[in-house]
Amino acid sequence: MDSSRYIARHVINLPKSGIRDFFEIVAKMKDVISLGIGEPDFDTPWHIREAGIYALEKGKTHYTSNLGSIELRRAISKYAEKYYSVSYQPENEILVTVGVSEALDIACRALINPGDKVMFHQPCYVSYHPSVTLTHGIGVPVPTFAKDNFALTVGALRAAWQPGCKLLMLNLPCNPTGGTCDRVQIEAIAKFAVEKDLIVLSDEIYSELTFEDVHTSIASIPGMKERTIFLHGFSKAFAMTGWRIGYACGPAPLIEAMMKVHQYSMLCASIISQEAAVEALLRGRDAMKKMRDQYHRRRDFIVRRFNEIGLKCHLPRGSFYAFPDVSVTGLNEKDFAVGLLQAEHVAMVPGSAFGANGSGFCRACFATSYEHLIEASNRIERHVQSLVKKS
Amino acid sequence: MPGFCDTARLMKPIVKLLLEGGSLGAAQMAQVLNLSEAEVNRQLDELKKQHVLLGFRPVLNIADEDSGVVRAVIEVRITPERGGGFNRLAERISRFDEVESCYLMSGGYDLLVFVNGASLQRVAAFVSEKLSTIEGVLSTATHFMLRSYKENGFLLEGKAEENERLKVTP
Repeated sequence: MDSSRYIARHVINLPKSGIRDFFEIVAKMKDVISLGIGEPDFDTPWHIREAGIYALEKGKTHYTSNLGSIELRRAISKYAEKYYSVSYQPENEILVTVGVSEALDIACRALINPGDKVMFHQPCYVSYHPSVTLTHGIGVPVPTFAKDNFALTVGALRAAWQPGCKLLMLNLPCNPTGGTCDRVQIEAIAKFAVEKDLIVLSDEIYSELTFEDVHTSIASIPGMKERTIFLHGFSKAFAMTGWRIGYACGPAPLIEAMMKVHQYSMLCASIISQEAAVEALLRGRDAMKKMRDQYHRRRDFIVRRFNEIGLKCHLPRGSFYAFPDVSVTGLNEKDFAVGLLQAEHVAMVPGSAFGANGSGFCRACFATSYEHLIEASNRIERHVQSLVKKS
Repeated sequence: MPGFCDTARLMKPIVKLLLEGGSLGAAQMAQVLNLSEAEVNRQLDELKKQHVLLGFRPVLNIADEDSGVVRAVIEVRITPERGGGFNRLAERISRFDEVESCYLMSGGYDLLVFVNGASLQRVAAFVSEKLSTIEGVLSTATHFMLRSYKENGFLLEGKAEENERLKVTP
């Protein structure tokens, strides 16, 4: 029996993640220095892990409220107010989710009617377009460019906009480009969102890892709280990827709608992770700043090296990704990445895994040790030189 | 030639790198900091001259019983002196080879002295013959260390865990 004929059409048509193809190749190789990892190299700070252990010891093994524990929602409310200048009611404007991924998914499911159009900037995180497709929406990619340091411009938004656009997804700072927008640019995007009556899904998972300027949340711009769902989590800033814990904040009716989807699918996020998350919000800033400082110095090193090597690389102002242009080698990003892997055992993710607009670039994660960064950059240099000689 | 302010500014990155960079050699530090190796060595020398960088030592696991090292912590009460307070005596005590570290403390005693010796008897002899006989030392209370769990930021139990991150993730 051909069981594949039972699969829903929109799932069959969903393209496989480009990252998975690449992962299959890398997984079979030994001694690879990987710059292809999308998570911190630090383990979760001990005091946060300890809070998780203590939660188990206290017998915190039960369901919480669908919205998440009220302690965590209160902590999120204070954190958002203090660091993002936007205030949310813990009782009905905050929903704790299983990572930002779930928050994004249920936001799409709660808001998108079949045929609704959703704008998102590209290159972007791999799940944005599929999240829209899976809810029968239509993705409208908006390109960002190296010449703008991959900041999202209103010009590009305007050029891409079409009738029927209902949502705008933002991820600033951005995975994979490290691009972000300053306050002036955010204000312009906000104005555009109001003009076109868009709801904004703002995934700010990398916001603590902003190296220049101060991060501005679009939700904090006057008039935007009512049309923004602020998505955030603990994975990147507090090195908690495996805990799978995040949250969504927004207008009560939208949070209520998301909660409906959440309660019938996820029920609630892990209570152990919720307890650890409270600790992270209340006492995790010092550890977070230490990690951020280290990413900052590693970024300065690897970006300088890419430019020395001849792979033009803009300065990513946030996240822990550099996004060098590899087209100087005469190869496309996939051939370059595979060649680098085979010749020098260094893994970078081809930029096209993050959308067509990532062609010509590769993503290099610098959340790894100096020893690895130094060795990887030397190997990349050797490989690029060998390619340039040939051509 | 850089002025004093420039040098002071340059010092900061190298100190931060020393603190976070694990065991990077001068050549690697030079790469990270975008300096020549000679400049890195010059800055390290400068830090030593300024008495900011006192030296490098390996952190060894000397917890097991065959290591032949006995360690003790000694609480010492001393008489402060007019003009110098506790300093003269503290510095004098610090000069003994047996003394690993020495701190002036608040609370029920004055100095906390970390001592190493080849055997329990050697450490005991140091305390009774050298330390307590110094004029101005009022009393000592010696605590022998039984077991070490963490040394200078390194956990002793449990081998370094393999990094379990997947090699490629979105």
